[in-house]
Amino acid sequence: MWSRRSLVQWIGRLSSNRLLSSSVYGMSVLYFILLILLPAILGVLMRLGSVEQVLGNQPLLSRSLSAVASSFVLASAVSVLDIIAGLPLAWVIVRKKAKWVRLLDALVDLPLIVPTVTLGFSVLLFWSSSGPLGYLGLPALSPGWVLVVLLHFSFSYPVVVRVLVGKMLELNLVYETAAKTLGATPFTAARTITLPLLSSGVVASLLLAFARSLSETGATIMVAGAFENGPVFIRNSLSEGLEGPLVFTSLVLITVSVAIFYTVKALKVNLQVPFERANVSLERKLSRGKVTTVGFYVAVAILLIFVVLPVVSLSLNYAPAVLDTEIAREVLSGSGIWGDFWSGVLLSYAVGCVVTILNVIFSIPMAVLISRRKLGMMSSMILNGLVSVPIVIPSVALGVSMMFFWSNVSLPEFWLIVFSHLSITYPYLVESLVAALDDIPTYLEETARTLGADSFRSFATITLPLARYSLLSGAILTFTRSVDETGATLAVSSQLRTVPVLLVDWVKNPFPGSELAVGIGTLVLLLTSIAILVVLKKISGGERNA
Amino acid sequence: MPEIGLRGVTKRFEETTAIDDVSMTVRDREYLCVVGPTGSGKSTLLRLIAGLVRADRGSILIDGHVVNDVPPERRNAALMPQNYALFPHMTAWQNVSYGPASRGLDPEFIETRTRRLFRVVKLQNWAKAYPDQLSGGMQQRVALIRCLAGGAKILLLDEPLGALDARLRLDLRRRLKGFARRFKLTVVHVTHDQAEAISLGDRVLLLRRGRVEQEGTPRRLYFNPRSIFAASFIGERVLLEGVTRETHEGLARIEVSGIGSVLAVAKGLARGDLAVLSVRRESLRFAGPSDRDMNRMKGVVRDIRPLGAYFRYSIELPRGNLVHAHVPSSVALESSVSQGSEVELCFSPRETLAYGYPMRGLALEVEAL
Repeated sequence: MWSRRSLVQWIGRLSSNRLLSSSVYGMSVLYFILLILLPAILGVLMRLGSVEQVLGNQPLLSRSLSAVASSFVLASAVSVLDIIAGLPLAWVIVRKKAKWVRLLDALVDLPLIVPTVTLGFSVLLFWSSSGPLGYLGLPALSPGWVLVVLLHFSFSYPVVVRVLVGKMLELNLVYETAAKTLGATPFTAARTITLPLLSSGVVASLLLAFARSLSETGATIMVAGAFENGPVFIRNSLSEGLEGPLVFTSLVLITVSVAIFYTVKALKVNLQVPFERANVSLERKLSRGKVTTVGFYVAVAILLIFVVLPVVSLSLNYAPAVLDTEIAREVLSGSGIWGDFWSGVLLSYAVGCVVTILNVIFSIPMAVLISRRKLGMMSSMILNGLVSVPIVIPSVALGVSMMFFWSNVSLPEFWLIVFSHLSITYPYLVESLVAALDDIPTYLEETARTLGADSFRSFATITLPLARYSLLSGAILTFTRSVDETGATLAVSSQLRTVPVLLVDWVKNPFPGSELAVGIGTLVLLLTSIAILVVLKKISGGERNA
Repeated sequence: MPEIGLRGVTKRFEETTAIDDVSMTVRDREYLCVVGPTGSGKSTLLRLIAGLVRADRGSILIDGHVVNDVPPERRNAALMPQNYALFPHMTAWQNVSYGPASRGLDPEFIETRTRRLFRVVKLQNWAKAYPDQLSGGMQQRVALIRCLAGGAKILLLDEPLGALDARLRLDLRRRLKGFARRFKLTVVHVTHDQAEAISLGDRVLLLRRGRVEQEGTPRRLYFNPRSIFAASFIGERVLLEGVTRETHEGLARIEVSGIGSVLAVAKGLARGDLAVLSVRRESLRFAGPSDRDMNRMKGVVRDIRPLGAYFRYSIELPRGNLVHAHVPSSVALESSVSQGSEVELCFSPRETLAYGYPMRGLALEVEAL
């Protein structure tokens, strides 16, 4: 106890040294610019010359352009579908009081826990002839763009619902009630009052789903078949050893997605529908109990069929194999392919830990810089905008850029993977911390100062403890995203294979017994990811919720 | 001897000047109330003293030392913000012992002192509660003793009673003053409520647009407001407009349309000047036969409201404007005046103050800003 007190006081004395505190902030900005931002963009620009390979080759050019176009069409279609199906579901979760709604609420979180490769394999299996469709004698879906759409829907839909639920919970019901007392039917009130108030949330979740769909690589490769979107094309070019298409496609992906993202943000799209044009009698019909109930059940059915059932079916399918002692012994022994599997798992978690620790350390001062406007209004806004760049860039393009950027320095592959994951996950931590800090009033820290706490102590004892849930959830998100990541990992690594990359490999290059191996592997991955989350929840739980 | 001084202090925020060349002194153990409309710079003044914002010009002194460069934690001036800023993740006990612990004081000493303070405000049984488990009044008490636990002798209160309901507010006003005396504190108490300032302050300082409009004892501010703004901000007044007819030895005769000639105390008014007259509502009373040498006006009673110690009569003057007279309840209860009665009001020239007509118009001048 004594030593802890004196440590805090010692740091406190150091922190009143202006030079020292500005050098901490300076380091965090340098970290962001040199390690996170620049490599993600500059690498591709450094190889701009090789673009000629593509520009001079008509078939290659049209193939890569159509791949990029597919990426954006896919992402737009999926995010719009997410919103259409997500709004009613979010509505049910927020407004219905029934007990089954809580179960629904938990189910929505399921795909956030399931590693994307597991989800990919689930989708592949569920719609194949060996899945329930085959059972019922219905035509199965073979790998191709339809499966890709289903897959992207299944991992982005829960994200959208989560964001929408959060925004709806923040809404004040007073406005809607007021609209109803003024004569609006429930549907009209929802359309003219609630939806416009929600528009920022809708836009935010659209962008999030859009970015996620653009980025997803590993699971997409599993179900894509001959279909090529940007990430799949880049992966194919990687295995063909062509540099031109890599640079060209990455460059186009980066430029267009950054442009779209910031245009949408700048326009602050307003979703309000002019209420004069309301069709009153139609809306009255839509407001009737039956119509809304049907709508809600459809939303729930979509969640179950497209998101929950594939995962459940995969688990049921391979649970017997995992429980079989013979097989379990072989898996645990780590012989043959299982040796690769376990070293992949180890690598994934090692990378995840390093990435989480580094980003936690460097994102805290950055979040303070942004939220407390230490550099003035303008620079804080610019920094805040720049921080989200790595989220926007499709991760495989980011990986390609990273690979070229660090190619002059002979960096061990482990660190290449770490660096690319740092870049991809950095925004999640900073953004969740900034949001948390924005919610913590500055007067708390100020009051602590007037009571005798120096600036470091007031931050460490007041602000940081109040932000710890956001810090923890940001750290969990960082860790799971890193473990889950395939796009950038594929791009930067040639020898080392993280576990999702390995599983994608097994699907793409089958060998005898590979399907069972992938099934078991994805299931093991799912179980460990659940176990880690449970442990983390235990650690963070039990304390008083402030 | 905690004494606070400001010497020509100016603080700008981008376009606006929050505090404009303010000089003032708060003496040791003095209870100073700073009052003013929203946006007059009250909170900035407090934050300047606390060290949370830096002055652009001028110097701030505590105990005679310039403290412009001293960080807040070393000024020994504890701030209590309007919402108390109790740390939500700490118990009441942890909140109170936060200051001394931050100063690295001896744990045993902290323990004894915190315990004593909890006893003073009779919250011994609530020490383990979290702020959101305490009532508004309890939170305020915890916030108060938290300010003192670290040994601060300067207490900076920002609207300390603003978040409480009306009944509790009156009760706590008295306690606040007793508390300050008991602990020998120098207090700067910021409020927008003139009644609070008048009833609490040893001295009152009226701020307006970042400048000191007037300062002095409550009595002085109440009875001798220096400007029409001060007059309308402190206390409730009747304002009448007129033209100066003649002036003589600090008195002026002013012609008010619909009322006639009114005698008033005036400074700096000349013949022909437009003037504004200010009369406190309680200075108005029903005229009797013995009231000679008094100003008078006639009107029709439109509304009567009993408001505790006094009744408020709303009286319509011949030109259609409404004035309010506060008549002691004992008088009002005996009176035969009822709604619709024609009455004659009288008021003493000594309690009638005349000011030059403000350049930008009366309504803008007395409006809060």
